Amino acid sequence: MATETTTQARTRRLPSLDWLTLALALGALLIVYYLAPLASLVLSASPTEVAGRLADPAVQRAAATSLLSATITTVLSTVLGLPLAYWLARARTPWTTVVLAAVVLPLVLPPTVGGVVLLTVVGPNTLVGETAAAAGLPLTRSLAGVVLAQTFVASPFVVVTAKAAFERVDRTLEHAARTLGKDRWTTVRTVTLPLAAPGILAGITLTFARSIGEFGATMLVAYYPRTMPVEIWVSFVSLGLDHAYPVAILLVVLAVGALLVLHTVAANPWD
Amino acid sequence: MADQRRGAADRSRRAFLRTAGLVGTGALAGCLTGGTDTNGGRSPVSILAAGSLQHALEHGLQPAVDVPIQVEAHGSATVARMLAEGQRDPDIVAVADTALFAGPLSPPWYAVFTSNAVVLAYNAETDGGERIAAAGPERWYEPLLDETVSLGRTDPEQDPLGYRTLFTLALASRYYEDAPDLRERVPTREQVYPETALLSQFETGSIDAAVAYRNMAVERGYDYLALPAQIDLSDPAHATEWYGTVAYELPSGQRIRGSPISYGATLRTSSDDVRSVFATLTTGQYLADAGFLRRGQFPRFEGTVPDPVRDAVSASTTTVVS
Repeated sequence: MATETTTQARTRRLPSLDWLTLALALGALLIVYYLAPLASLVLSASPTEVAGRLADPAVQRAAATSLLSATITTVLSTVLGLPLAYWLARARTPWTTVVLAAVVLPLVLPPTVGGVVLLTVVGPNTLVGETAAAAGLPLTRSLAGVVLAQTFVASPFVVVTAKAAFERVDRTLEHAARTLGKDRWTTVRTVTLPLAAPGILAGITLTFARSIGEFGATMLVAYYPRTMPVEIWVSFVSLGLDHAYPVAILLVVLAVGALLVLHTVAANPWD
Repeated sequence: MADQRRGAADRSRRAFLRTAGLVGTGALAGCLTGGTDTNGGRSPVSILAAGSLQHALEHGLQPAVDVPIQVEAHGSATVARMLAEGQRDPDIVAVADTALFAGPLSPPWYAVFTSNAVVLAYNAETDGGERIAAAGPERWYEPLLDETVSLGRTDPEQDPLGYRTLFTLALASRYYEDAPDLRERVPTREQVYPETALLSQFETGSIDAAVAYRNMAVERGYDYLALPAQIDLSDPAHATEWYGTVAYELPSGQRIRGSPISYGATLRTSSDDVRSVFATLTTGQYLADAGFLRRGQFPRFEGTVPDPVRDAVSASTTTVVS
């Protein structure tokens, strides 16, 4: 308490810029840049219009599809991506560079190109697509198709971010656990994962956010069932921007809500 | 104390996760079962259509039929490509230019079911838009020659509206006595946008005017100038004397001759449901409501039409007339 007062007093005596204030000033510019289009979006449709579109069953179905598919994509990407990230961070072979390049590749491709490429692998006239469709799980125009498209585009975020988080974990702590007789899996579970958790959570957040906003690949691979971005597109193609704005606002509200829930549930899960 | 609190937090977290899990599973089950049949077990009729038909089909055709329909819309060229490459397998295909049925798609038969018109949409809130409105349908091209008025159009190499725009400009040079060579003087590279980008630019006021289809302007409530039938590509009566005199060569070397705008549709699967949707699609009042023009005799068939389809369509036409 006493220290705080002293610091405050000193700051007041020296009003010169400390670097944190400068950082905020520069960052604020970026924040304004993010928020200005959002504010213009919110102002472009009245709450009544937004509420009206919320009552539209097509929009409700799209919202459900978006939430569900983004959740499945995020779980899938995390379950498959964390082991890959761990391997990338720990394996000592030049192959890690090659594998990392493969992980980053979907980020480089424009999503529409990603969608076209995916169609050549899982499309209805391909071996994979035909087999899956015959087994009753069509990979295009289906929820599975939405998840495939989103996973392609969004999963690299959790892999790349978690890899960095694993790399930042102090290796000596892992070594200590191993010398105390813990096997690798126990060490990962009790030492590495908890220490890397904030970074992993950031990756999961990015993957979820990217999934729920995914449009280019989803439109080509699935289109139906419609996600919110596809519904926004359809509204725009049908009746123009004024018709698309309310759905876009709903998507933002939905995504922000979902991310808040994710953070409330997942913040320090090992606490 | 701290431990107790943490215990309580853990319990509530677990309870929350359990609830979230249950809700999630329920939603998943609902979605997986609800995704395939949306209307009492009747499987929807899927329609792959040109973008300009999206609104009319979903909000005009759907209420007029008692079968659920699933509309997917792209540019007509994309529709053709998706079918040719086997990426989609719809029950009904509808494109904005029957030329595509002669080229990449070549179905055994198709119905020409409506036309449309090229119009000049303008933004009444910009100076340039006001000038076009003031010039009216007889002198609209004059403001366009002024560099301060910005016109948007789509890419003639990418979609039919793009080269139809050039046809209209060329025909206008002939139709209006004092007009200069508009095809030569109006088009500049900066005017060209993909169709969706063109509409966004237009709606946000970035461009003063856009060449569009009549139904787009009607559905979206744009201010627009209707152009004379001799140059708007809507009327089969002017097919040879006017429209047929202009042409555009695609980068592929294919030469496209001007002709009345004609939307074509064909069936790829046949069932009672599909035929009844097809009959309404090709004859329904919804087309006129959406701003499509039907100056000629529609629907008109090309190729050998299966009898059940012909019967369904003529039954539907009779109902509409009576």
